[in-house]
Amino acid sequence: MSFISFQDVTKIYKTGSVKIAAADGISFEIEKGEFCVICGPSGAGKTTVLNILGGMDRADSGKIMLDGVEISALKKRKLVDYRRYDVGFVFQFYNIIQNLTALENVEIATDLCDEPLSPVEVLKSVGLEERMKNFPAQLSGGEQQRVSIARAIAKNPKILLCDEPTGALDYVTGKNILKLLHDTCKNTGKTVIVITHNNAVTAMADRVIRIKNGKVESVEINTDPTPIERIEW
Amino acid sequence: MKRLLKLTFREIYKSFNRFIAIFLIVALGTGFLAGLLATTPAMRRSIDSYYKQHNFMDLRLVSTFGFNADDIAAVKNIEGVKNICAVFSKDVKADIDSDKFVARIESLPLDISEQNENYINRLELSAGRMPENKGECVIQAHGMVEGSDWIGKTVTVTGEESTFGEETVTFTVVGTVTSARYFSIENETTNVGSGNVGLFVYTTEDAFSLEVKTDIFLTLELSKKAVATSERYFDEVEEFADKIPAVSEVRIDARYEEYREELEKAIADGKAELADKRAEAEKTFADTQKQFDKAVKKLDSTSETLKAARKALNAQYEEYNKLVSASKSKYEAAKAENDAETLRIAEELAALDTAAPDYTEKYEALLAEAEQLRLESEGLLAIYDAEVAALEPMKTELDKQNSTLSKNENAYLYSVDELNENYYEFLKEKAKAEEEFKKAEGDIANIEELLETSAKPEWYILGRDQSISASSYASNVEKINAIAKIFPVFFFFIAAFVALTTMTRMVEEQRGQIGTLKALGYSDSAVRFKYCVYAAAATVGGSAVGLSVGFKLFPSIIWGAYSILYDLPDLLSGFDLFYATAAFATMAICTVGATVIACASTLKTSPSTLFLPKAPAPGKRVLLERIGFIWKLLSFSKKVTVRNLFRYKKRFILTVAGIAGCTALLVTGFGLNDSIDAMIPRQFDMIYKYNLTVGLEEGSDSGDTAYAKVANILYDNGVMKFMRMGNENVEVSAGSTVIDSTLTAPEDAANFKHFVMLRERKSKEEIKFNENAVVICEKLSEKLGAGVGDKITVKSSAGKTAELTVTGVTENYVSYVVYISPELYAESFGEELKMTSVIAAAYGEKDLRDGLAEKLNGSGKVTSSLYYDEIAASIGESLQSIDTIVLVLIISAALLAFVVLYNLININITERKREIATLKVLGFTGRETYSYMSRETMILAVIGTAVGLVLGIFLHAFVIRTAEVDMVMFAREIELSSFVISAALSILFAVAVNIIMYPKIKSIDMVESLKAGE
Repeated sequence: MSFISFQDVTKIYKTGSVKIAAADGISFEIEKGEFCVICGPSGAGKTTVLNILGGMDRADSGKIMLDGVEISALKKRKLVDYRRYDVGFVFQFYNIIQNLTALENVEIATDLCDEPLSPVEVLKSVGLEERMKNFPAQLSGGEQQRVSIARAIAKNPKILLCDEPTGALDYVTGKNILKLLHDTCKNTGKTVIVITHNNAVTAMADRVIRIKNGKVESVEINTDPTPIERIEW
Repeated sequence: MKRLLKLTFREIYKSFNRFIAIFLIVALGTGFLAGLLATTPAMRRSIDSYYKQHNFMDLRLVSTFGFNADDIAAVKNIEGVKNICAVFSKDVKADIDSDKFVARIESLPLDISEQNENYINRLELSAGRMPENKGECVIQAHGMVEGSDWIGKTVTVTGEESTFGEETVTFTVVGTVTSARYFSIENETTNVGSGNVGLFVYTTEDAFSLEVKTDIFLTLELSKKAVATSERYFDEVEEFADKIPAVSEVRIDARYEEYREELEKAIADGKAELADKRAEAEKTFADTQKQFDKAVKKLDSTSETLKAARKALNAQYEEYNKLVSASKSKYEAAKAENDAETLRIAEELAALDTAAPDYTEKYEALLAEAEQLRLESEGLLAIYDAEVAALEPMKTELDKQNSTLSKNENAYLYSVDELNENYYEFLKEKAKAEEEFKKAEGDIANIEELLETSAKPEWYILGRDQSISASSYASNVEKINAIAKIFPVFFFFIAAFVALTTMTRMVEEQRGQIGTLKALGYSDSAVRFKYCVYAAAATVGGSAVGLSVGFKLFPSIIWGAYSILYDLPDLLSGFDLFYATAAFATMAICTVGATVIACASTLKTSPSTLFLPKAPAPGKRVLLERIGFIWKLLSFSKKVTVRNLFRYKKRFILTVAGIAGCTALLVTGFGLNDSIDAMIPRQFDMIYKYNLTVGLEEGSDSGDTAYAKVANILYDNGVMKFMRMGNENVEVSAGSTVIDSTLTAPEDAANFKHFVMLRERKSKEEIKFNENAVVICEKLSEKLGAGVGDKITVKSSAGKTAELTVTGVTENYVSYVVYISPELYAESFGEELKMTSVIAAAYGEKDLRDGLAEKLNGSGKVTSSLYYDEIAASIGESLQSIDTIVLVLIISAALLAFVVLYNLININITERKREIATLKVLGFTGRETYSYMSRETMILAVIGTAVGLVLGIFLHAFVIRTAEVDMVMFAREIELSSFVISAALSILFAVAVNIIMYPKIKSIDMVESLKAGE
């Protein structure tokens, strides 16, 4: 049994009389500790997958399992717990709270969890030792995304979901962030799932799931991932 | 353009909550403002039309001499008089069956048809018919149920002979009416009986026997704008009234001259008549006396004659008696001789010796002798008798004469008696005549005195403000006007302010979309157009709803409140174009203007910048963080709350201001209620410790006699606490401010505190009242700007001025008063103040009080008697109607508070959707997210409420001061409970809105978090 498994997941959005199948029978599996990249063009259904996996949305049908728990069967309240304890989320636009310092932004998340990591340690590990007391407005985009990642990691979740984490960042910073995520995956053994439309990133992944038109186009296992430093786009 | 419109409508649909909020705020603001502002004009219009319909008088003239035909003609010719109507009117005691009333009986003009424009104060028939014949009447029963029950009954008036020509007059009720003069349930006062008129009787003119009319009613040619109760109206009427003295003075002089001439003539005539009568009487008496004298003389001569006759007769009787007695003595002498011889024989007989031989002889001789003697004696008697008999004719003659004489004598005595009796009668008659002359002389003297002391007649020019109903209505319109002016304006501006901030925030929130539109090539004006349409749609829609409801709702609620007090037809409410336009235009300027300004600043920035989220305000450490131990106690979400509150200063201020405004309105509303409610009990139960004021008939001794009488009546009725005092209307000034006030000087300064509580309102400190005291009321002090130690100038009604130093400023709510010691008054003005009233603490049951009033009014020494607690009750009643208005204010404020809170909280949530979504993704439960948001809004609400409570104090003070009618001071304090209720309502609404918002927060899609920043 895989760590994560999607079995024939469908999700149909209705807008008025128009029905759009954002997920049309998606099935894949991800193993524990993998650095997985879900890749596909805009509107392919990547975000839907992420939403459903992150417990932010529900599938219409199909089965989603994580670490032996059937996410798709969780009650609403349990789903909140799931988000709280098991999922770390990294947003494209960081979504860190402007009114809290870097450290506090991490703490607001760890406050919620039972077995969080030390926020200070986590911030150190993402290279923000010197900026812990700073407010988001005093940080650069990359630094803010690092806070966002630190917040996700510090919760000590089972999986780290990253939605276009480099989307709002410049090339170099974006690469640094991806490296940080990759390092986190490798150093802590957490399963990291990165959603991106950037095909180049797939080279660094252990597993690449390509999605197109709500369907899984392919699943590739990369036995020899290319270090991020060597990837150019 | 079409697409843009479509986009706008989609925007409305999408942000329907916000749209509805603006819509409602606009509706409330415009409806409330325009509705309340339109109320007083509508009330003025209504009463104006009602008055016109009843041809209600503008002025009423009353003269101490009444009005004769010349007076009426003179008044009629004054320029500006439209119609004139003169009537008889008299306040009397009247009975209907066994019910007793104080009634005002008034005559109707001869022609009471619709066509007669000179029929002023037209009556409206509610049942029956109008009186046609003498002895018929229609009645308006004060505070009684109208109906035909009264028809057929009889109004009986007794003891008003001088008015009706008969001791008892009766009027048969043939109908019931209403009058524009008495439409209020408040009491019309009089100086008859209990002092309140309870029945109005209208009858035909011929019921009155008076020579002159008592009242003149006038309607005037006024401009169209002079709507009843408006300032313009009073100004124009006063302008006219100023023309009256020119005429009245001439008429007064003429009437006075006439009157004096009449009196002089009466005196002259009286004197002449008296002289004539006296001369005649004297002549008659002299003649009579002469006759008497003659008669006496005649009697006297008769008496002489009788006396002579008697004397003569007596002499004759004497003669006769002499003759008789001569015969008698002759007889008696012979008889005595005879008797002595007889005795001697008897002795000799006895001495005879029976034994002697000559005895028989002797005896026989003796017996013969004796026989001889007996015969002799008989002879003597016979002679005597014969002699007497010979005298008898003389006696008879004499007796005959005597009898005649006695008869004559008796006749004489009778004549004397008769004469005496006649003479006595004559004397009596003479005395009576003398008395009559004395009386006539007295009468003349009286007329002479009347002539000497007679005062010129006075004309009283009484406007509508002197009629209880009309003045009550006018003052209530003023009160509503005052209250309904400031408050709705604040209300409106708070609503406008909130609408304005909502539009501003909306534009700012939609910078992304604006950027897109701009990038697509839409012009700035097109973008602006979109938001302006949004704002305009809400404003037009809201105004339409608000105005159409407001114009109907508010006037009718207020009118409804007054229908308890007044018997009037329905209010002529309607769409007031001026206020509608004003309210709508102002609101539109606020909303659309704010939109334009917000758009301008947003549109200045280039589309590329607009795409990026607006640089978030940097997080900042707040003061609280420096207090480490507290800060550490706070959870992170609370820390965020604290920092958030201080981060968006603008948002914070706008929200707090909005909530504070509403809370302030609530505080003001409740405060108004407190202020108005507290005023009357404080004035009449707390400050005045007396309840009866009696006006003394001044007389020639400045009311001393009247006071003694009143004091007696009061004592007799168990009223022990009373004091005499002087009142005067004065002008008080300090600097350039001049205020008409009442000056009061209590006779006994030291005990005055037992009648009026004098104290400083704030400190509650008692103010000493001694012979140097000059205490003024708070409102007067405020208006004059003169406090303790300041000098004020007082001009007495006699025109003398004095500068006085204020020694105290006392709590007082009704009218402007100056209390001064009589000693100081005399010293300052150089003359004593006439003590012409008495105040008394005559508490007790109504029957007793009415009885006392009746006794006082009936004493003939009293000009008026007035129970304050009844005035208080009647003011209280009229204030109850104000309470309704205040209630409307409170409910409206509460509604506004609710909508504003809803709107502000809604905006707060809409603006922070992404943050909420993020927290949800982080694993915040629904409850945690909700409390995270609601905590913030609750804190805003609490701060806003707190600020509002403080703001409310100032707003209340301002509204109170503006709303205060002249002469009245509302209580200035707001009760603690009002603060509590206002705060509680605000918080309650905040909680309620938060609860309403819960589903909205819950429904925020976590997917929002994935979107680009706002």
